[in-house]
Amino acid sequence: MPHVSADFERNVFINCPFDDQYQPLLHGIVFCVQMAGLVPRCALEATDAGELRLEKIVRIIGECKYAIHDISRTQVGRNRLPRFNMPFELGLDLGCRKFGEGRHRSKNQLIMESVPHKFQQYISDIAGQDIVAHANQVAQAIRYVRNWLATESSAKTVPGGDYIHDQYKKFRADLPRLCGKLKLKPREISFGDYCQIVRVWLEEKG
Amino acid sequence: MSRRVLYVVPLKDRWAIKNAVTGKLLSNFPTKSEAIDAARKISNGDPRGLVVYGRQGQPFLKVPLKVTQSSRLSESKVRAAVRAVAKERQETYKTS
Repeated sequence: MPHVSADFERNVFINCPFDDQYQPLLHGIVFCVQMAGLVPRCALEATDAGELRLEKIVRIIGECKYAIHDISRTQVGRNRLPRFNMPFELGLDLGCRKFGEGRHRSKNQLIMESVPHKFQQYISDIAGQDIVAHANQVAQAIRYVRNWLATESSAKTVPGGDYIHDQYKKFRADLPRLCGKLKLKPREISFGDYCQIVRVWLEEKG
Repeated sequence: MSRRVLYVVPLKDRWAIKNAVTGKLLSNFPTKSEAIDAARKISNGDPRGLVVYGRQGQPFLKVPLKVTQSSRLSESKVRAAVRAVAKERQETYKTS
């Protein structure tokens, strides 16, 4: 059974594409989670060298009460094959809630896609779940994540979606200068770097 | 020995340092940066010994060590950069 950590109630697993095209959405979602007072977790975080990717994903899923699954990127790629990682990890998380014990039974998921009802064409088994469509818009994704966290999470005071998005725009405006001062190129920022920069920025300005 | 945890919280127009266990307010400051610096001094720079809250009352929690270990950035360097950028913006705003 996956390990249940002390931070379980505060951890939010983010299961999404990691390509450049999706990065603005990932950054917006991470910012929103941190602004709500919760902790973003994802497969991009550091790991022990010996830990297999699947082991790492299972461990993180077990450590998170909340999960955001973006299944929008399942289209056929250049190799004419679809990407199944996100639906697979969604399945692992739903399985953890269904067959897990104790706190894992209280796990809570937000499922996002880009186009309404598109999932019915490739993963109809999840029909009946609440699935929202962000239309590849950061503001929209932030609003959905914010509303879900405000109603479902342990976070007591979650600012409004428009306010979070405004703050996010201010943060994005500062980011190139921050990178300059930290002698980093924006493309070189790791998930750990990004979480650290967002948290300190929020601590100073939020 | 248990770790002493401090909160930096909004207090009307000021920012206060609060003992997380007793709830006692230890001191307060006109700016958030001053409160953070004072709290960091009291907690001897222990990153787990301080939680900074937002104006809306939400805590900005530290991401687990296993995640931040993948970051090459020290917290103090990032904080200095954030403050420097804020200062530059203020100066630009003043001169424009």
